[in-house]
Amino acid sequence: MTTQSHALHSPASTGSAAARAVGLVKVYGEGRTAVRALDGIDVEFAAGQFTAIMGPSGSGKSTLMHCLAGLDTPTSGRVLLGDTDLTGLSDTALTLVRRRRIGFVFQSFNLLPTLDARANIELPLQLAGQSADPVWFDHVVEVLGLGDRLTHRPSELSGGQQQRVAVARALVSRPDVVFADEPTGNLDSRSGAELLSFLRASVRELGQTVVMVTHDPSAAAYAGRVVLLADGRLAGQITEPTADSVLAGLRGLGA
Amino acid sequence: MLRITLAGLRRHPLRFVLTGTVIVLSVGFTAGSLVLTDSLNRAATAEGAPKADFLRFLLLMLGTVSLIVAAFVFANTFRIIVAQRTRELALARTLGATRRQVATGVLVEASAVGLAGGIAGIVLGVAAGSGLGILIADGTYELPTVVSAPTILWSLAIGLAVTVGSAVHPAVAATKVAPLAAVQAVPDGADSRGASRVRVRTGLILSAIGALLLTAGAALPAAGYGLVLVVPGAAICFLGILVLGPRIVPPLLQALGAALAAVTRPSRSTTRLATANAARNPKRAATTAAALLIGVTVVTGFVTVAESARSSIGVILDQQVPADFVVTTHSGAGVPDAAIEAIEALPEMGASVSLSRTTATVSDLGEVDVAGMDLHRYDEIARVNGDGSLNDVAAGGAAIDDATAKRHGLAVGDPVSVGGRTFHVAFVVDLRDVPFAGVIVPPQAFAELFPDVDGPAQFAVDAVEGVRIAKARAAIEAVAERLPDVSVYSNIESRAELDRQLDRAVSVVLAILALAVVIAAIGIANTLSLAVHERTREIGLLRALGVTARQTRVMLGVEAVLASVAAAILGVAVGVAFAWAAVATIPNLVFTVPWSRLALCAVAAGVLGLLASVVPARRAARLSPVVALATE
Repeated sequence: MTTQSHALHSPASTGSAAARAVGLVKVYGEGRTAVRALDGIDVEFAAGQFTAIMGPSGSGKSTLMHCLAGLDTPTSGRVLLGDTDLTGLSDTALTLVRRRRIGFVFQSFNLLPTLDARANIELPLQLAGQSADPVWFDHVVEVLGLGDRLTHRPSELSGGQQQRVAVARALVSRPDVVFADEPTGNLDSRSGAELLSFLRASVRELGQTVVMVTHDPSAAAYAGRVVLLADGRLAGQITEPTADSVLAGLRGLGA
Repeated sequence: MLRITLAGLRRHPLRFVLTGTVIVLSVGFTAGSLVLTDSLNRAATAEGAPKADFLRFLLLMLGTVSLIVAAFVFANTFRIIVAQRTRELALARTLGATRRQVATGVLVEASAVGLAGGIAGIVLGVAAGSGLGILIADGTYELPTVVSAPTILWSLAIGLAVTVGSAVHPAVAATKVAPLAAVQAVPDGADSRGASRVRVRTGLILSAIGALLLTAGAALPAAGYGLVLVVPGAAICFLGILVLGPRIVPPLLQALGAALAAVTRPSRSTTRLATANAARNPKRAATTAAALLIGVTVVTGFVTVAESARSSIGVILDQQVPADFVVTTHSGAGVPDAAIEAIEALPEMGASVSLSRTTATVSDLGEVDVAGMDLHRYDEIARVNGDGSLNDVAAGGAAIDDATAKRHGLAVGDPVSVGGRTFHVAFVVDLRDVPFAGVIVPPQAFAELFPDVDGPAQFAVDAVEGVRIAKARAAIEAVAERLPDVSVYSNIESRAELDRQLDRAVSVVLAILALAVVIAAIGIANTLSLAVHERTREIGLLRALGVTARQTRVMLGVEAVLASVAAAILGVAVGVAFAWAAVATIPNLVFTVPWSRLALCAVAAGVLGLLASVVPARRAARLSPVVALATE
């Protein structure tokens, strides 16, 4: 990762919040079987930062990410992406926000099996009727070491390579925020560490904003800040985390 | 295993409703045909009228097309279901189900659908058959509804044969699921494996043999015998094309998709995704297309042959003297002299000729058509070409058509005995110029030889040049009305009448074949809804990455349209080729391709494909990305 890419600075990082949740509540089901997955969350994610969302199973961390990323609509409260209020947007408007301003890296099944790596990376831009800035595209591909894999189908790529293609796709459209949902969950520890280094580098060197959901303390240690969740509520945060401090923080939740 | 099977039926009722519909329709048609023709036959026997055996044969032949299409749809559905159930089947194998139990499970499921569909089909068929019978009888006679035991047994047997027969291959595939597959990835329907080399070779050999038979049949000089080669040739060639399907269909889909992407710039990426999806599994794409391909090929072949027959109506009609008007009698007796005199006296009428006909023993040629006609007068209506002199015929010679002459080695000057009297061949006439094959003698000689023939079978007359046909017809009809038994028709009018009859026949057959096309469209809907099911996570991913609900619908719509239009294009090409060979075997038939109708057929296939996509596409568009992504 010896690149001088500060000149290729990506999104508008003004130092303000890239994403924000205000009084966020998400209830699944109705009546007696209702589950409050999110129970009044107020949280901010600063631009140009790598933030990890952590918590035990059922703490609501995935639901929070889905609401922040416009994949799910909250029951009440507000979600802001930069200055845009996502709450109340129509399905189509939300889709366009995801396409233009958000990048995704999921745990698995990140890529379309029918498209080769290049087509997968370019997909969000293609959907918007745009084409990738060739300099930026080459840079991202080079940094992720995918140069000789662009014509391969997902089935011809290793798990680690597939996840790197997903990261390239998330970065190439220079989104306001990249959301990563357990991105290393299906990788061996070496590939996982490599991927997390890439994500961290994209924040430090390319100025990207990354929000990652994980349950792995050593993965969270790559972030600049960890937000802890328990029972759908905010349960604290750790800045400049290490695997040990994260583990201690989790224990403090009584998990 | 049986319990697992039945649980499968209960859990996914929709896919069995769709496949069941296919069976109900195809079995229903066959059952209905049997009920209708049985009923017509009973009524016919009661009245001593001829039986409806030809109708029965025709209906059952057309019904077979639907049954074959249904079998393709059914086989494809089962193959997809087995592929999607890999985990379930592997789990059953892990827990101790034997291969035999797994295969039996699939077959039991197929027979359950076949039996239920067969029963429903019989009910539908009886209702449709008796309903149509009432329409045909039109209140003029009592038509009993005959539902015989053979009808019921045959219909049930056909339903079971189609379902179980087409489930055998998927059942064998199910036995090959390894227990370990339970822990492996979810099947996503992507299967880049194309056709094996053996398959390609088999397909090429079959198509080549078929094409060879087709062209040989088309080139066979003996009239009518060519069909004996053309029909099996077409069948073998078509089989070859079906075998080659996984090699032919995906490139066709890709070419169509690229063309569509080029003209629809704004949704180019959606079109690209749809194209990739349509061609992602070559075998499945080929089978889906095959169902529609069969229907379109049969429709195209039929429409093209019918169109060729239409443009050859002139050839058929010209069995009559090609005059403006032809006078005959309703009873078949000779046209009375009074009528001929009255018509010849009309100022609107010009050249005319009488034609008397019979058959007689001619030399040692056996029974031959003999006509009494003044060839000079005929020559004024339609020019006659040939060797010899018309004057010599008028002077007491005979004329003979060149085909008959050639067959028996007769030439101008040779003696020929007609009905006991010896003539000399004075003229060898081009067969295309006269309305029949055989011998022509002067009217005088004909009257002397055959006193039993009570007058000319036809009296043909042209209107004087410059007189409007409508005015001439009014005049001639005024004369005919005064004379009992005499009828007049104009060639122009009978052409229109034949046209109408042909149109009616074409519409009826097309309506029946439409059933096969509709069944194929249901097949596309079925394949697509199964594809949506297995691609749930993929659709969730696309929605997350910014594909709108509308784009999702468009994507699936384009996928269905590509599949149906590819099948239609292939079907039109193959059908036209088959029709060409069939037409070539029938002498005097002019091969004519109704391009505009065929283009309409391709458009209709596209529209059907689009309709087939509506329900699965709506379901796909409604998927919530979060739920879809979490699907196993």
